[in-house]
Amino acid sequence: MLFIENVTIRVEQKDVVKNLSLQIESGSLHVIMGQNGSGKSSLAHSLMGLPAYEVTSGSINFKDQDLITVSMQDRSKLGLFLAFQQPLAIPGVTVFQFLREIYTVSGQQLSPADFQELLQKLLQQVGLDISFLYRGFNENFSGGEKKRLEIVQMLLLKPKLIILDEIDSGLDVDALRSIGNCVQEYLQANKDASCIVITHYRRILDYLKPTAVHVMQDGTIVHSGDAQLSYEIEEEGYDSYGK
Amino acid sequence: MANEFNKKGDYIGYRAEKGLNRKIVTDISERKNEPGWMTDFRLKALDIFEAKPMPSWGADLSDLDHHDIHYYVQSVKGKHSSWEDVPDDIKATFDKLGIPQAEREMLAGVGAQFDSEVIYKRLKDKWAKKGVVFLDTDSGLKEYPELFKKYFSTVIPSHDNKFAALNSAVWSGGSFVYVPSGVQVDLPLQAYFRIESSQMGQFERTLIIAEPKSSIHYVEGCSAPVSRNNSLHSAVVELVALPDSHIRYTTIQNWSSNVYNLVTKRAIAHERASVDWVDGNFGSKVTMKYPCIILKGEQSRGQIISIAVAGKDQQQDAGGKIIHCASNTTSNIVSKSISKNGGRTTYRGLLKVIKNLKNIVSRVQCDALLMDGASRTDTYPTVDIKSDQVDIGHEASVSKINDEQLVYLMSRGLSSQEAQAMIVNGFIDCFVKELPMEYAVEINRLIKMEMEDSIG
Repeated sequence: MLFIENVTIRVEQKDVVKNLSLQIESGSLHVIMGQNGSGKSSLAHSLMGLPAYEVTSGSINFKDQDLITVSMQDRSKLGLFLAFQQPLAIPGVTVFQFLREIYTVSGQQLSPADFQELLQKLLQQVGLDISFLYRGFNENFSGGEKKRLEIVQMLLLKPKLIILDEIDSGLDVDALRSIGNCVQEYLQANKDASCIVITHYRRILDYLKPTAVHVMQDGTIVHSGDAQLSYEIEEEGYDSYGK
Repeated sequence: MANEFNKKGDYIGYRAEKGLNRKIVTDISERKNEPGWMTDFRLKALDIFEAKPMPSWGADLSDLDHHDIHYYVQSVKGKHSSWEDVPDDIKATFDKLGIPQAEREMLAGVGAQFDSEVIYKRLKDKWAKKGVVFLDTDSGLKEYPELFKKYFSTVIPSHDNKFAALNSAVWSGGSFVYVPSGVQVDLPLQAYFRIESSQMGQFERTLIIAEPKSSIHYVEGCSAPVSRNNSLHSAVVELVALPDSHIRYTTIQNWSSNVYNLVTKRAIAHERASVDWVDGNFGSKVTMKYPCIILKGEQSRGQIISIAVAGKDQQQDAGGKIIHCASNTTSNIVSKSISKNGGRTTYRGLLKVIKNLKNIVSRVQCDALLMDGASRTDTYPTVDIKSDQVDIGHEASVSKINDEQLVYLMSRGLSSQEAQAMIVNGFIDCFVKELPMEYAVEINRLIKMEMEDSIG
């Protein structure tokens, strides 16, 4: 589904991802672990097409399409979804209005009553009270509430490739479990969907079933393995995976 | 006088010659069969207009030529109270604005003014039976001469400013609204103002009187088609809120970009009365407008909530004025402006508290949003407090459109325009909330159109 080949990514004159290759099959879940500054969030942003990230060499193909030439807004329509590490607030716009707009631009349609019903279901699924629908979007939300709302958006847009950028940072155990379960259930219900989980810590993997775990350091993948690798990292630290 | 009829005897309209002199003012008054005191009032105002210099502050008016304007244009003859009687071409224009439908569904009454004259006015029987008056202002003068004379020009005297003097000299049309004691009109009255002819001036004059314990919501919409030459819209609006009454006055104007919009709006609030100005300014070449509330009676309240959007070659110089003249009074000003494509917005406000008052509470908040580096915004808040027992809050902010918010929204599939429109609609949400439902929808649509225009 996603083929990343020898990709180098530049931000503000600096190569943050260097000569990285990664292949994500349909229906798989890949975990990328690494320390701060290892380039894993840059990879996530670049896959979504955020404007500050320039791919200076290599290729990225998604469903047989050259992704590098596709705009951010069209990547969303192709089925990419990035859950942000720090989701933004849009003051004065209610959660309901926001969700209605992204649902509509994704080309889906529902009557207002049915849409309302769908949102009630999704909010319940991620553990947010229904009253959140009428609050300003991410205005004065806690970290956990923002992350839960990212997952509501994911469930609404039904992506083919989910990128979770440190979704677990700043979450308490309950929120972590709820979000982990939602993602795993989504992947089980949508067999062709794939997921990239970017994280420092192993703990979210208690709720997910990884196909592969990769260690990223200094802009590239230095080690890959199965789920077991995450336990080893937790015990031994990242240093033992240096070049 | 120019020819008003063609050879077949059809009415083809009347237009005063360009420019302004005593003859033109007298002609207007004669055409309207006005009493002598009004003719005198007009002529005196003309003298004041000519004596007063152009304002040296505020927006740039150097391109406004007083001699290049028709001060009175009657393009349709007669006033109608049945929509079917309105001439077809004019009906088509107003149909596009959705007037007849709106009237049937959710309004207490509707009026429409085309250039200088009101062509349509209708109040639902329910309100007419309760003694509510909703007329064009010329008819108000004829049918309620005593009431009219008692209040006319008592809130805004001719010498208030140059353009109030101009309006006083050549006023035509506008709404005359009277709400009897204790009558609560729970649906809005709505008036539409349209400038159809180019190089003309529209000088409507509105007077609203709310008797004790009454309430009224008046909504006005303004528009004009695009033409090559400048037009002038210079209205005077006077509100008299008697004890325990409530007046809300909502304006949505979307003038074309060649209209000078220089309007004087003022309200007097008596004991325990409350007045709200809700003011939405789109379009126009230059707008100078500062709705004012004089809190004259104890425990009166005043609120001014406004937005202004300025695009290319547009100046929105707007704000609000509150004058506390009695103890235990409260006021609130919220002003939001958006500048794009090199447009310029200015907040100009006055908060005044006279001597020896107690328990004054006031909040002023003005927020400006800049959509690009070429646009400009300025804030001139004047605060003049002469009493000690006051609780005043003033907040101002200027923000540039936030790239991170745009990126976040675009990653969810929104186009750059859609993302901007969403952020702007959120920014003005506190204004939109004050509007009747269908106006709120219209504003959101206008913002989307404005953002589409701002690309390229």
